[in-house]
Amino acid sequence: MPDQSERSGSRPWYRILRLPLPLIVGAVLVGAFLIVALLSYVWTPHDPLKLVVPDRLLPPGSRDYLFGTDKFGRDVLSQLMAGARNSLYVSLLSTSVAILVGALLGLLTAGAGPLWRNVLSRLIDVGVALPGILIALVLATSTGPGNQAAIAAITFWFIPIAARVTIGPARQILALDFVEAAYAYGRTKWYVLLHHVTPNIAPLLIVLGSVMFAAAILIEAALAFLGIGAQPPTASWGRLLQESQPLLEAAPTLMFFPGAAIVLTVLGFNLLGDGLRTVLDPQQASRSGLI
Amino acid sequence: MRNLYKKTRLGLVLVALALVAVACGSDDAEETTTTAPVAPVTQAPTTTEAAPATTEAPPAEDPRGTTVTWSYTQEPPNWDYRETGLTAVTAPLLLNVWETLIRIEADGSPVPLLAESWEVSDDGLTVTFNLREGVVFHDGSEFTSADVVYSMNANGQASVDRTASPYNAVTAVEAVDENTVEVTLGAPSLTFVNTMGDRAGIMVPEDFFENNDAATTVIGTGPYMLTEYRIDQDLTMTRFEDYWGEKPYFETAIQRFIPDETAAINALLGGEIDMVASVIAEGMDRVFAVSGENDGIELVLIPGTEVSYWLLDTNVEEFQDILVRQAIQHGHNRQSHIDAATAGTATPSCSMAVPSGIAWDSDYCPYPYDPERAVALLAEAGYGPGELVLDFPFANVAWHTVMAQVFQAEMAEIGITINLRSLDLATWLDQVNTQGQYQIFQITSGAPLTNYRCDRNRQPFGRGNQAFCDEQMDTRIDAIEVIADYDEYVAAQRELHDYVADQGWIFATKKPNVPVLYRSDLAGIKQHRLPDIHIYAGDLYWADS
Amino acid sequence: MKGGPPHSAFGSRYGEAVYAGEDAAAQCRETPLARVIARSVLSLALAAVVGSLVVFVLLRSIGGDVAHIILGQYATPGALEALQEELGLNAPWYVQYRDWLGGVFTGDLGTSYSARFDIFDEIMRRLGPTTMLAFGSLLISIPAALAFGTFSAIQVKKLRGGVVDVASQIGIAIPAFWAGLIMVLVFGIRLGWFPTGGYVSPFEDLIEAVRGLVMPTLALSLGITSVLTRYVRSAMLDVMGEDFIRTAMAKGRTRRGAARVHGVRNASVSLVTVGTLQLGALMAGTVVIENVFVIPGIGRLLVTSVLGREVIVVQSLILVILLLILVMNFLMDIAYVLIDPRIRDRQGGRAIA
Repeated sequence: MPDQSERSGSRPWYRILRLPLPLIVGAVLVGAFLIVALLSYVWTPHDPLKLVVPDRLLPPGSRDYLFGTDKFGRDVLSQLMAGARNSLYVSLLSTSVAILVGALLGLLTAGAGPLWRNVLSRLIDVGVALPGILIALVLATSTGPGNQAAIAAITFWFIPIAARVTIGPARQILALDFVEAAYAYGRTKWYVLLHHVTPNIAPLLIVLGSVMFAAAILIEAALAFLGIGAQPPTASWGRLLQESQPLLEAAPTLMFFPGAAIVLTVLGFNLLGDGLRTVLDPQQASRSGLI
Repeated sequence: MRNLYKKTRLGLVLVALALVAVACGSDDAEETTTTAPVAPVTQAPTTTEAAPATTEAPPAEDPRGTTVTWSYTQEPPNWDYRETGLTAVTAPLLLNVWETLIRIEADGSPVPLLAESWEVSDDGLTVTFNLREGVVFHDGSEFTSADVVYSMNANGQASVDRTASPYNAVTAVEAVDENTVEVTLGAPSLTFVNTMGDRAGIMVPEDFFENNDAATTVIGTGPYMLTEYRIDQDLTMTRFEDYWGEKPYFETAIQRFIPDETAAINALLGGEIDMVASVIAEGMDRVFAVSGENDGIELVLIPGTEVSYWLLDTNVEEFQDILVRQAIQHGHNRQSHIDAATAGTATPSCSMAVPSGIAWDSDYCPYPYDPERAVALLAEAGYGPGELVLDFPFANVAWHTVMAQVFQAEMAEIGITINLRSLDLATWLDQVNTQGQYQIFQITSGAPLTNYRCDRNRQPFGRGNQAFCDEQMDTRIDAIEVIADYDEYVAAQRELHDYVADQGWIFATKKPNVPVLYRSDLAGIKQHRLPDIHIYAGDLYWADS
Repeated sequence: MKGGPPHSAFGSRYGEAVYAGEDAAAQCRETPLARVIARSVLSLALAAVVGSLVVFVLLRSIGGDVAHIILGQYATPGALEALQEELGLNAPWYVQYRDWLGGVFTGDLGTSYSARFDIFDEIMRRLGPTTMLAFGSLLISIPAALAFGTFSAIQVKKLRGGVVDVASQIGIAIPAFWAGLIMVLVFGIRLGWFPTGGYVSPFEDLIEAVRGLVMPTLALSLGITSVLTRYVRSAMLDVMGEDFIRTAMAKGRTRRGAARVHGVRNASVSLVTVGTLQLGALMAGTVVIENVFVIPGIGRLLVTSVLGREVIVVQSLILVILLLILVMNFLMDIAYVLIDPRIRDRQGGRAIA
């Protein structure tokens, strides 16, 4: 939705720069997340999987262990970094596949004739109506618990949504004058979809990607928390939270760090999405009422 | 003011809508079935005993009430002990609702329960049980030798190995008179009488399985009747006023199903339950902190009756070299497993003898933790770091997950790569436990070593695929099973256990002790020596009452 | 988990009416309700069949069936085979599915394999706690979102409005289960104000029932309130620029007053839409929250049935859940008309614009 202030012309309190504040804060948080996640591939303070059982449950600030250790004597900071990597991996893969497939499906539906459009729309509706958590549970069981189950679940959860979001704007653009002109010029429908519609819905998809990425992180954490996502010894924020539960007396900080990491990252992606929406195409976004 | 009024009215509309939605939600769904020609089964999934309600003198007034509530992590799929092998079936019901012919004391000795006494003939082939008189089932019928004959025959046909296998040696069960039953064995069995204190000795009324759905109905002779079972919630047992023995202190005993041990301990801390009956998984990490920080909470560690151990697939080529088997054990740090998986509550053990302290238990440990030696042995066997890669599927429940990770890490230390495969319980039971799709197998069980014969008709523990089979061990087991003299039997068992330890195909890690957390004014908690952890409500009372 | 779309109504029906375009709007005018209803019934019936079939095939194709769970670690191959035969698990998958589907049409969802409960009765029993949790959350979220969202929109240029805005963003980012865990720690254990888990029926003990629902409901509604707050805010901001507000202001109303009158109504419409769309997320949230707080609802039945390979229970749950969504859709259609009879025209107008 647009910022009202843009219409009224005055700036709200948070507009310090030309860019909206949410975009800046979001970009900083997302950037930090990406740096930590990518850094963890090459460097972590300790090996996140290295067990030093005699060093178990050290409090934060202990020698060598800035954030303390878990019940296996693993370094919490390293685990958090590896967890960021896992979130990035699962969310990026599932979100990008879902958006690519979903958008393609949406474009096909929008461009199809009345009969196929109706059939495909109904099928997409069916996909949207199926509760995602159900799909996730069943997929996790059938593929065996693990990251691959989480990725499959989130992808299938998001595809119909991405498709549904695409159909409307795509059809709207197809109905515009310049599309008529393109047809008159002898362009095929597919040419129009590819060269006129796709670039126009790209901003929408970018915003959608950011928001879906945030949701994917939350879902990944929840699936890992329920024991059907990332499996040990893979470090995942949700799994770290689950493992911290029984240690709430012995090591209360274990519960704090992964939760805070999730909140900051999700917040970052949502703010980024918000900011992008304002910057990229407020008109479009406001018209859609979707995101 | 008017604006405010409008807003409120709108809110009310929304609230009303939500309420309508609730009502409509269920109405609509209900119609779907009630209009159908076939009426749905209206029987609620509860188990109700048809026992006469007896009036008793009012119980002693105690502000703490006449109900004891404990939590238990597991809920069985159903209550048919012949069909459902899980501990969760017997944990609340054995001794409380069902009674067995005999009872096993904490020191392992059998004492009378439904059988007042028993005699074993000199040749060891005939066991005569003299039954207690005046015992009544919860359905009002009298307990006689006919019920024993029926129960023994029914138990012998059970799907669950632990219920049926003791009857493998039995050739005939006869009622001599109203209160005497004679059991004839094909070969002498020193263990038969003791198994009558477990599932195999559960006594039900004659024709019980024909007349009832054993999945939902439970009838026994115990001090409590099962009065209500709410799936995923709780199980309520009510004092049986016609019980033959001393009546229990608590009028009502409730077991709440709390699958998550963190939530269970939270419930105890919040005063919602009186006891966490057994902590076997992630809750271990909390037991010392919780009992140490709270004056009102006590901790007791009950010696377990199981052993956590590992099996190496006898078909894997690399394992044929005993050096590799020895190396794996030398690289295996038992104390690390105990610390990480059980917060230090378990006892390290290299012996497979169960329960711990049994006559052939020993601290013989041929291959103690020595990673340097492990590396040397592997080199001797021809494997450099990373050259040995093994498949280890584990069930992602309880402490298996923790032990799997510790094992992977300690094997990495000596240069063996372990590929962990995390499976949910159902998949693990099928693929690993039944089909034997593993190279390394880990389990915690109370089954004796004598269960491990390759050729045995009943094949527990993943031998459907012959993943484990040691024929030399079989020969020893065969020899043991026909020994009639107790001392000779013990000696042979010890020899078998030492042989198994030396071979290194099967190796133990720990014998878990079961932490029980309870409010400090609950008294009487004691251990009953059964292969299953279980809670006998008849023992319990409020302290100082 | 605030699964599914976060603060967004992907797939909004509102949005769809806008975009599904001219013909949809035209259809609406010709056959206002009947067609819409027929269409959603058809969609959901299709969803139920497709969903249950997919679940059935997936769950049947993987290792481990309910017989393994029943017999446990001591199972013998012979006993397993006998039990699989007895339960009918050896029949071809299409026979099993057909039998279940046939049962659905005669109103009999069947009996669970292992616990032998009547599936319909059990689902009805589980609906109680879940609906209380879900609707309890909506009861908190909707008024709270209206209040916060309106406040934030009116104060859009002030720090106060911004604080609400930021708070709602953070609320969206907090995983419901984490909020639940912290609440249990603080209010359940440290302070002892509320039970740490479990469920008491309100018919047994109303006060205990409410006490028990406070924490799970709050944990669940945190995310939803935040999402809805952002919707209300957007809707209010949208309306405040419209002509009729200017007219109202010209008639002497203050901007704030005008916004309250017209904005709240507008916001309510979008709330109704979003409320329906949040059902999926709500469902996901209840699964996790029921697990954190040990509440015997639909969500836990779903998890245990999947893990226990109770295939027909999972299928039946899908059916019931979709039925509920259907009912909710009907109710929302009615709510549209109740709140703003002009809504349909306005949508049509927008679509053409």
